[in-house]
Amino acid sequence: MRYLPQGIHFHFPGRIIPHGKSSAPRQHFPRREVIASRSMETSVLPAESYSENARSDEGLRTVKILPQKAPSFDFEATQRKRAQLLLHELRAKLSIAANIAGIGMWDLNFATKSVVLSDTSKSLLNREFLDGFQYQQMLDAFHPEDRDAVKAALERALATGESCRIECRVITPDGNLRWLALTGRPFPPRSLRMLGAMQDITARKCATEILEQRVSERTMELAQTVAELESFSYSISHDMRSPLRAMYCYAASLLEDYGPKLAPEAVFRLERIQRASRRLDVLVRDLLAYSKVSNSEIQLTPIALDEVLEDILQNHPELENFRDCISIQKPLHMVIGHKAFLTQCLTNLISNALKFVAPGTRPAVRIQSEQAGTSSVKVWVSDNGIGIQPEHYDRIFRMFGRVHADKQYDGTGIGLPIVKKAIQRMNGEIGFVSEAGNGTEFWFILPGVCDRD
Amino acid sequence: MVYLAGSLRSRLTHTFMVCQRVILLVEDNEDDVFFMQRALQKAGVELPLQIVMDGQQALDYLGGKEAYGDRNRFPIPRLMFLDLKLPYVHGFGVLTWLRSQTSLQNIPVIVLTSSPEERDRQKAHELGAKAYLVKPPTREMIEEAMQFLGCKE
Repeated sequence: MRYLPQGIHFHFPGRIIPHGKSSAPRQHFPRREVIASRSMETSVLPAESYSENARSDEGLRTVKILPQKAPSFDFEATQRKRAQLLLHELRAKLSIAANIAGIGMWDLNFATKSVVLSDTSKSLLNREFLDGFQYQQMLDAFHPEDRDAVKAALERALATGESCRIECRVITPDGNLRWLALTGRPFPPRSLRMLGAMQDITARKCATEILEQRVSERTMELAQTVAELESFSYSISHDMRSPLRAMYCYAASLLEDYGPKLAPEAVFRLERIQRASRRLDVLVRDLLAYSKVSNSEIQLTPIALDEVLEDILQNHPELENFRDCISIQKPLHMVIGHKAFLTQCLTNLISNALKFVAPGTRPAVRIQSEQAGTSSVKVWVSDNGIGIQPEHYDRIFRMFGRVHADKQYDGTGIGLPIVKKAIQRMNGEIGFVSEAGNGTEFWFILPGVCDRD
Repeated sequence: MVYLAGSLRSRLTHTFMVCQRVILLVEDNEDDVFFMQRALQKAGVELPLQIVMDGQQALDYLGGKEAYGDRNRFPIPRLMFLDLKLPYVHGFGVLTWLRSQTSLQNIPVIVLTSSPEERDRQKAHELGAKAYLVKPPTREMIEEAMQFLGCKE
């Protein structure tokens, strides 16, 4: 079945005149009923194309086709009208959408320095503008401090052909500030005409300001808390260590002044008093160290590990006897860290390495460093000690996670947590490789100093 | 070292038979006072000990104010042991004040404290303390201090 194209189709014997030919040749038409399909989309041949004196195969007949009630229009006009209606519809849709979204539109002609604003734009800029007013008047609508920036942004966009976006302020009649986001682009490209939009972003700006204020308040509170914690732990440790010192010293003075007169049992008990108070003192000191490592404000700077180790060996008299047990593979790398923290870490690791050896074994500690990745340094502290059993692997870095009894190996259970915390605060990582009975190799990775040459 | 003008000193010695050479101990903790006394005794220091128990009292003593007006009973000390954590006026406050007093600037001060903090030691040094002693004081420390300061008994 043949589908008819859109249009009016006259029924004539043996002949179908296609529609759309506004200058149809004169034809002979028998007098027939004109069957026309009527629709708005139909195009009809103009009346003048019909000949009054039409001839047909069956003889001359006069056919006068009068334009019916259907309007007479030509195809191009119809298309034009259709396009206009479509444009009108699109404009309406855009206008409604823009209004709902609160977006004002503007059309700036740099050649004539005149601008057309949509109603929303006019209300956003808070001015009653007459159409065709000047570019300068539009600029004057903005906050005096922002005028130059807006002007510069628009002119830059015009020069580069790229779109611009600038946030600026308008002062409302009641003296408040309104923030606008102004966007625009030359259109057509590389012309002196710019089209753009503007939107009220006051709510977002306010929210951002409130947020920023809250952040700075919280930061201040946090800094204050940290400072209070510091002074708190400082005085706690001082106030706790004072009576401990007294206990220890009274016991010591008794032993010194009255020792010869005392029964051995009395001497023994006084010594126990000394031992207990000294132990508590060490605990308090370690807790203070942990609190410092956790809370104090630090700056990270390049540190020479060689120097840190030299200081440790010099300032710790208890390490005097073990100096030959410690071998350092020099030169050690430079790391980015904090000197006091690094001193604390290495001291703890070294003293652990010297302590946890099998009875009768002379400890041997080795310290070395190597490049790890492009910008990190890995430091090793290895020993020949008793090693760590796999079932204890996750305990040793925990607070008071001590494995051994006091009798075997002394310690507070705070040493390794301090090391771990310190390394973490210097943005590093820590771990170990160990085999029970076969020594342990502790390692930590810290950012290294970049080689500039 | 001589702190008082020769004539004044001889007059006082002559009239009141009081030894001007005292050691001032500024310490608020009774136990620490005991241990200090014991250490001084063990080190064989014979100078009498004057004790004040807070920072304000220290300023009053040194300034000859309030109860300490009588310079016969409360002479300017030969040497001072100064604790830092004191009530009312902190040890550093006493040090600072001392530096501003021309007549008292020459008194050697040994800071005696439980604080092992380097920053405290640094500050004490800046404020003119001659030595920094971390408690508890022992006989050896006192002997060393006396030698260092060149104190004669």
